[in-house]
Amino acid sequence: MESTREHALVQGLREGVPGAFDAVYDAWRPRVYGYLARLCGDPTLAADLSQEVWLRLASHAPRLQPGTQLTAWLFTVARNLFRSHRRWAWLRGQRLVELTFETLTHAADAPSPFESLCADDAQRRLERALAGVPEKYREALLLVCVEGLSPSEAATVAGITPENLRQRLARGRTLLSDALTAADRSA
Amino acid sequence: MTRTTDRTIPQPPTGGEVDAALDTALAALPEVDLDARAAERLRRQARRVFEAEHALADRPWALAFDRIWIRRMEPALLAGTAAYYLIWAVAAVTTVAR
Repeated sequence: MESTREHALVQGLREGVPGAFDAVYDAWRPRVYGYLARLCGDPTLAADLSQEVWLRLASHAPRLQPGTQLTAWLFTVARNLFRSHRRWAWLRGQRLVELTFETLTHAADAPSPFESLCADDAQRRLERALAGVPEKYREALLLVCVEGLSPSEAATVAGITPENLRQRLARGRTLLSDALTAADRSA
Repeated sequence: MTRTTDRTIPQPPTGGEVDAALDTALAALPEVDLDARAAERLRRQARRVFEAEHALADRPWALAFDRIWIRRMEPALLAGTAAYYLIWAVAAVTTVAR
């Protein structure tokens, strides 16, 4: 059902149907922005990258293949843009926004930008712990557990094999669980 | 030999239960979105690009010209400019050396 709707939207994008772009934008915008924001930990950067994702979709729309999976396409573009940005930032010698092991201790103390949206303390702790998980594991958790992509779709987005993704997912869950346990102990 | 578990004693959660609980908690995280005004501005900007691309796709000659310009003319102009300044720099160095 979902896939039929996605195919219809892809067809609409290919043919330039005016409502198709708006429908895709409304349905996927929060997901793409949320993924980017939690991946890079910086809402401003996430907004910039998100803008680039939607402009790419708008300019590539007539050339989309009929069987394109929009979810995978959008998340792959978002991920590639983030990685590209990070590479350029590194080349320019700027401070990376990415949370590395070195900055984990600071990240654990500072509130994440999404904590104000959390309904309760448990969610706040989870956001904080998630922000502290190293990027490649956090990415797997975000794609599969938060955004609900299937492991094979997530593997396509991350450019790895499904088996590799499952390993990252398992490691990510362990790291997240450890971080939550540590936070519980310190509280 | 089978192992029996006394159900009256609370058992620690298994790995699978912890994973399932984590997955549920992650799926329930609040949706974050762009600021409403920024989202609307981006929608208008992207829609303009979308319409322009389709207008271009409807005119094959314009699309062909666009592609030739981007793939052939722009790189040629860039390479020509770079070559001009390179030749100029080499000539300047040669003159100074004499």
